[in-house]
Amino acid sequence: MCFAIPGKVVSIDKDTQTAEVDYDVEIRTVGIPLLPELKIGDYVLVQAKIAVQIVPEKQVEQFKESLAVLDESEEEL
Amino acid sequence: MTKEFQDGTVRTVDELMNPLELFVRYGQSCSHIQKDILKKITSEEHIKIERMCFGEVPTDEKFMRKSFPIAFEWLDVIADGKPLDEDIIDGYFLFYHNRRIHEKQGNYRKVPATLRTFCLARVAQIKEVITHDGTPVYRCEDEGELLTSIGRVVKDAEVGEWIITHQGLTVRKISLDRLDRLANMYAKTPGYEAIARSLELRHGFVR
Repeated sequence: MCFAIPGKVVSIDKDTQTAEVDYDVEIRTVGIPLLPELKIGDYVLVQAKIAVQIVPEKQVEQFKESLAVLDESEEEL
Repeated sequence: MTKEFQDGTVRTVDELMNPLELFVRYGQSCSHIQKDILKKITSEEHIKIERMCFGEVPTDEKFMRKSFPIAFEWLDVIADGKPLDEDIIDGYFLFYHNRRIHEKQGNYRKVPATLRTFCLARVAQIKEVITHDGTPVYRCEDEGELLTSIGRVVKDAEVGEWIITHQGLTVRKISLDRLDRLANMYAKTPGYEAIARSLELRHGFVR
């Protein structure tokens, strides 16, 4: 299965246009020049250390619920 | 023209776009869930996948087959005894992988739309190129929808060109002629349903 994992923005540095994003297992620093409207608490999708899309919080909750019922035997992507 | 990798390996440009390199460009995005959610690969293995994707180390087929065993089983079935090539890799993602997402097969029915559709391999036309820290960022369009695609591994695409973007990463440039040829080729491959059934029986999962 091939899913994007949303991370939660926990801090923003407007000077460097970076944010710290919490993935539960680790916190990563990502560039945010493409999402000037981003705010702390938002969830984002990141590619190559650049945040490219904001995910509605309701969908993040649905995603978290779905993790408990994923079939791990499916192909990886 | 040659390129020297960080581990000292030197390879020619023609070898750089080998099928495995293409595969890992698609696969590195999906490797996050393998590491963070399913715990099927370690952090070290995930870093190796990322480094292969970004061209920092050569691809390692044995390692990739170990990291993506079921996907490679699909690819081998599609290849039908022939060596894997770029057409098989691109076709797998554009037609098989995308079909599973569009039809919400298996786990895809359990995941919200934004996260599901972000995983589609999409063919999009570049409308604008901007740069962030030296990395091109392509603003592109697929059937009226505006997308953002990071050009970390495809740095020379220009406005008007077509790219394949997967999880926000530009995987490669593609011509519409080649896209048509791939679609025709895949229309003639062994039936998707037959392949799916064969793998379901082997692995016991339901689509």
